[in-house]
Amino acid sequence: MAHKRKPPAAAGGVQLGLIITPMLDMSFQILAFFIMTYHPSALERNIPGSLVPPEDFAKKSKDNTNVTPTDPLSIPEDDLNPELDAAVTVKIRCVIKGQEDKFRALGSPAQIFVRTAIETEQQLVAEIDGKDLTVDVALKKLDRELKAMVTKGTTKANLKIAPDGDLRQEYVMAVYDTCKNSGFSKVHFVPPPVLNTKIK
Amino acid sequence: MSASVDSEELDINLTPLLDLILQLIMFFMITINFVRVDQFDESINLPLATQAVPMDNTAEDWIFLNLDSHGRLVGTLSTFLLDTPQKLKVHLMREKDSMERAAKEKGKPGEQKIVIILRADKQCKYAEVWTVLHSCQLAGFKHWQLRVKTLPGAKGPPPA
Repeated sequence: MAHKRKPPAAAGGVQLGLIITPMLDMSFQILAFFIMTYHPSALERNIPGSLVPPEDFAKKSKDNTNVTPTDPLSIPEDDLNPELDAAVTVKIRCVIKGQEDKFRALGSPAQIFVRTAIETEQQLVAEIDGKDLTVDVALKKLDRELKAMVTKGTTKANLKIAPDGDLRQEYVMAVYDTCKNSGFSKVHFVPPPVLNTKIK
Repeated sequence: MSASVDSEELDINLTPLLDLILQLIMFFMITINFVRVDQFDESINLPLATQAVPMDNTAEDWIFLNLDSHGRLVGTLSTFLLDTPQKLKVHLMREKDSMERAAKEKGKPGEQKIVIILRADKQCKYAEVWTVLHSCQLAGFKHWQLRVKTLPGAKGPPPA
């Protein structure tokens, strides 16, 4: 018996091919969703810190008479972290209202001081005028100063950053970066003096 | 003689296109990171720092706080009226309690490591950051992290 061959589809039969157009449409929609919700999260990082519990502040304070557990920041700056007594302090004064001009913006650094534990007075590292001495140059001077301290080996590699309360966060981070780059491994932040005064 | 009988049908071959699309979908599905709105608030312009570290993965839970350039809390917290440090403290205490209760229900007793992630705008004042941190401290939080932006390809600090 001769095998009868199926006639080609073009000649009038039903075409049994896979219709991929709806699948492609759906794929495009899914692709659009993923593209819109895609976030390159690796560009954000963190600077870790720890908060001493309020009850510990009261214990560590030299004078407990004026300190209550709900008033942790009203103790003197040096009592904030007793283990950091030997730390180097970087103090940053900022441009306040009335001092700003076309070279120096409000909340930008005005003066940078450094003080070691053995020194009684803080040493002026840079006075920023915005023309001859910009923030970048001042940070380079600070970097040189701190690197010299690290090389001498007189410090315990602890450093406290004490900025003015009105200093903008971007400059605080720039100083933090400079301190870490210069070789200080443990960098801490001190609450601003304005905040301490307000709470008192 | 009609064309449909003699000439071949000129269809576009969609199969390679579909293959490519499916590969792209697979890439995005693998790399997608579903995050809360608080974690990527586009209105916050973070300061730049090269010496930052990746997020602390040892923490059990995180609370994200977004501070705008005027020192105001924005994001999901903006729906609450948290205009004073005291109100923020009470709100954070409630959040902490609910997180600890949820952890206990999951069978994790003891103190939970909850980290405050503070996303402060680069124009924000240092005192405003500390006002928020002070409320966190009073609410009983011990760990915080300041979120910053890093440059693409930045290696971060060397290991201690």
